[in-house]
Amino acid sequence: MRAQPWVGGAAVVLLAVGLYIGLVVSPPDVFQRDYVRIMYMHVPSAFVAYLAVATVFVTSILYLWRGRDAYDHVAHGAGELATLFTAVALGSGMIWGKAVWGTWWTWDARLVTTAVLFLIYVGYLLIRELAEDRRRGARLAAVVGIIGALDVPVIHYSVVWFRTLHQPPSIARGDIQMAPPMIVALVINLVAFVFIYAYLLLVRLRLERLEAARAGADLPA
Amino acid sequence: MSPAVAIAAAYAVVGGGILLYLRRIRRRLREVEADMQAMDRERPAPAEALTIR
Repeated sequence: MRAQPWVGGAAVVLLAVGLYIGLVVSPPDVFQRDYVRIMYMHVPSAFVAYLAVATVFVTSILYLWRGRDAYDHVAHGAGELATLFTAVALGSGMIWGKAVWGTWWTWDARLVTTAVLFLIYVGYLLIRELAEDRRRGARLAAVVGIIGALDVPVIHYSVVWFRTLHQPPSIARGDIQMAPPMIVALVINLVAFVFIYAYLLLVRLRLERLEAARAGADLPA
Repeated sequence: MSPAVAIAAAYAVVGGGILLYLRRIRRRLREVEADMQAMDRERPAPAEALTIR
């Protein structure tokens, strides 16, 4: 039984429920008013970007260690998704920043480290695209993917280590500073985005396998 | 920027990004599947089939 349609269906249902609770049921924030609803897209996008980077990190190590193409295929797909979700997290964050801070961009530690992650993963994809030898490109990209993943803890703790305009984590260990309906909306959207990520990765893996099969079929016998 | 405009813009950025990526992947998937089918059609029939005919 193929998992792809079930994962896609679950993502759509969860997203519909999450959007309804986030846009209709959850209350406005005392300080940010309705602008807080941007959080239900922005935070899950950033979370999934972290998840995609973690996937690249693990599968890149496995690829360098074992040399199996299957690990590289997962790393390549997750690398594209890390770039995509970092970009949409930055985009939605800029709109939220303009609405709440009054500026699209500021040289804040959280924003800069996230932009650096985006650039690292654009580089990761360019290395694969421009490499003349596919295997050499995959090995080099794996090294960049592993080094790039080290930026994620820096992004996460940047709001703790540095004095930033970006707010600190609202859900820290044992300390939740959010109203329960907001937490429900955020958690449902986080789960929905994990399913969206899984669905996109499954579709991307199918494409990667078919492209590898086509490249093999093109080779002279 | 009013809350409605800001929310709509942020949701459009996220949703639009995901949908554009999915559309691009699906288009590439269709192209590869078409190539594979064309290669299957062009492949010569096996020797046994010729013998039977």
